[in-house]
Amino acid sequence: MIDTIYFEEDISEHPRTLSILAKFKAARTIPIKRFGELFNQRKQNFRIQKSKPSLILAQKHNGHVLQAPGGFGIGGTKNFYFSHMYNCVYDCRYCFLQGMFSSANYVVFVNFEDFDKQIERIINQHPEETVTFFSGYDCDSLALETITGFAAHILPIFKNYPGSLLEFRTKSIQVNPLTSMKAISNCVIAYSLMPEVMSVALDNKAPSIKRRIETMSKLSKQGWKIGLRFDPLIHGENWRTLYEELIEDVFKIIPQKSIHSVSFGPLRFPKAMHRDIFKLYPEDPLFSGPLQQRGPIVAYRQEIENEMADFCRQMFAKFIPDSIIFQCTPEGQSPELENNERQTYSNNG
Amino acid sequence: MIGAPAIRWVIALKSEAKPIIEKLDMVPSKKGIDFPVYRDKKGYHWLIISGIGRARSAAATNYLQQESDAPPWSAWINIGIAGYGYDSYGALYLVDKITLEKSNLVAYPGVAFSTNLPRAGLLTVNKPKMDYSEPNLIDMEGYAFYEAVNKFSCRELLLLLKVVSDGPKSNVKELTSGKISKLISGNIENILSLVVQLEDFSKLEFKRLVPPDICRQIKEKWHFTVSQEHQLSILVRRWTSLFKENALFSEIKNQKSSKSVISYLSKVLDEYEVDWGQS
Ligand code: SF4
Repeated sequence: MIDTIYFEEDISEHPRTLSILAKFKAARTIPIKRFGELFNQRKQNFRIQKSKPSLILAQKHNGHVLQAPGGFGIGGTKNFYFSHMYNCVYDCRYCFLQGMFSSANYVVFVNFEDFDKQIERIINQHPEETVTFFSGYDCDSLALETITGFAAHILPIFKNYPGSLLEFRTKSIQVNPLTSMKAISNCVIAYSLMPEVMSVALDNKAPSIKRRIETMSKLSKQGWKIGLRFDPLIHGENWRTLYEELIEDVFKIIPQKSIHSVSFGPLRFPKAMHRDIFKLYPEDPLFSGPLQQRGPIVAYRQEIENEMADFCRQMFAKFIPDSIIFQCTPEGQSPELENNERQTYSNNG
Repeated sequence: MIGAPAIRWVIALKSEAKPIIEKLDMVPSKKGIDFPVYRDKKGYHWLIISGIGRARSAAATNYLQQESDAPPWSAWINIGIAGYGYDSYGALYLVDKITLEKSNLVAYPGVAFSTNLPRAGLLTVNKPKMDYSEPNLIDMEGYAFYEAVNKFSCRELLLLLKVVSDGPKSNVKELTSGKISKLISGNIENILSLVVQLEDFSKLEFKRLVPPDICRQIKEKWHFTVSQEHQLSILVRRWTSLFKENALFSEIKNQKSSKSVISYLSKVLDEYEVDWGQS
């Protein structure tokens, strides 16, 4: 429950600020100058904050839409990402956000219209290509939808550009704006998945895998295109059996015609990010498995990565054509966050 | 001591501190030479009486940090009386924003507490202020306390509480030591319920920052270099997240050297398949 809301003074009268504040009548509201003065402060305790995050309402001044790093994509030639929010209501132990931000508070950028303009400008710059936009790179796309209304705002824009593609990546089962409208053919609702037993241990506060699959099924019945994201792949005892069962279950329930794409990727952290996350949660078994430093990254041993990737790819191939299976290959780096060592192996979703 | 909380109190006046000293059974510490310092029997709680004003508050905070050997998981509390234009005499407020008078300096103490206490901003002034048109609580130490603590701690381990003592209808000149102590003691249960939460944060930080006790035993048996100690601490953390801490020593007891302890633990962990159903 959010009981503290900070808001930038400049947007105190913004209609979206007012409508969000109206949803939290009992919350203490605190005016601030710029969200960075609070959010980027150095002496903060991410772990304690995560136990009771506050909300920060702010305005994004630049970098609304950024080029996605190389190796990140689901078939399109041009890939971009945007985040109307920083941070997430869930608390997945492998999430890169906990190593990237010094604060666990949620930041919501209320100037959605500036995102719209940049999205439209980019689409118009590439009239001959399928431009793919990934929503929610720095958050879960839909988890706070009841508060932000971002999906409901952005979807009609994409309706006007059927040649482009929008992906919402999520673990949320609150999908009201989607179920209350007609499916949009160029929008993919992508769910992050892993075997239930792993998810119980790692996807803290997130809906169970069973509920996510049920939600995907509901959405697919309404005509929404579904993305399946097995990213990151988690190693552990009986991983083959666990992934086999999961993959079979998912394909049994979600009809092939509804599946837009399947992607998978390894568990990887930039070295400094791994160090920071381990410092935050040194008791977590995620960091006790066969992870090792490989150059600038910390990851499972190469043979484990390869074995898991090969196994999953073969499993997917039993159900869907190769053309819609994508492996996330960690290579590039997001230009905006170079200093924070954010790489393509972002494990968010 | 294992999992022990570390709480440090910085309070301007003896009369403000008195109810807390009594409630927590604190006694004067020999370490209090420049400032009066108190501590409880277990050494979990330390309290310093700073005197009035920013300079004294900052100096006392630094003094207490050194004299009490405040560990990195210490949580810090500043409590005292304050003026307020809304004149809710006797009400206890949790401070969530501090502004330093005649400056652009603003600070935001952490708000991860579960409490129904009312909250307010605080203006820290240089001289006593009788003009209560200000929307904030008014004191003379808060900002300096925050600034001093924030050099060695984070804002989530920092708590500022103010009890309204004066305002448009409550004349500051009528305040006596007895009345001030009563203002604090009248809120003692609410104060202590927040302190319990702060103790939990402090304990959580202790567990996060301090390697398991078994590390000490291992280091007593074999000699580790500084960089090996660092490696050992990481390996022991990883090991204890999977297995019982007390089983570790027998696992490695036949190792000949620190190097072989490290390579043995690395090998075990690097080959271990986590049983997620058990974790
Ligand atoms: S991995 Fe995704 S769902 Fe999990 S905490 Fe991070 S952003 Fe949220």
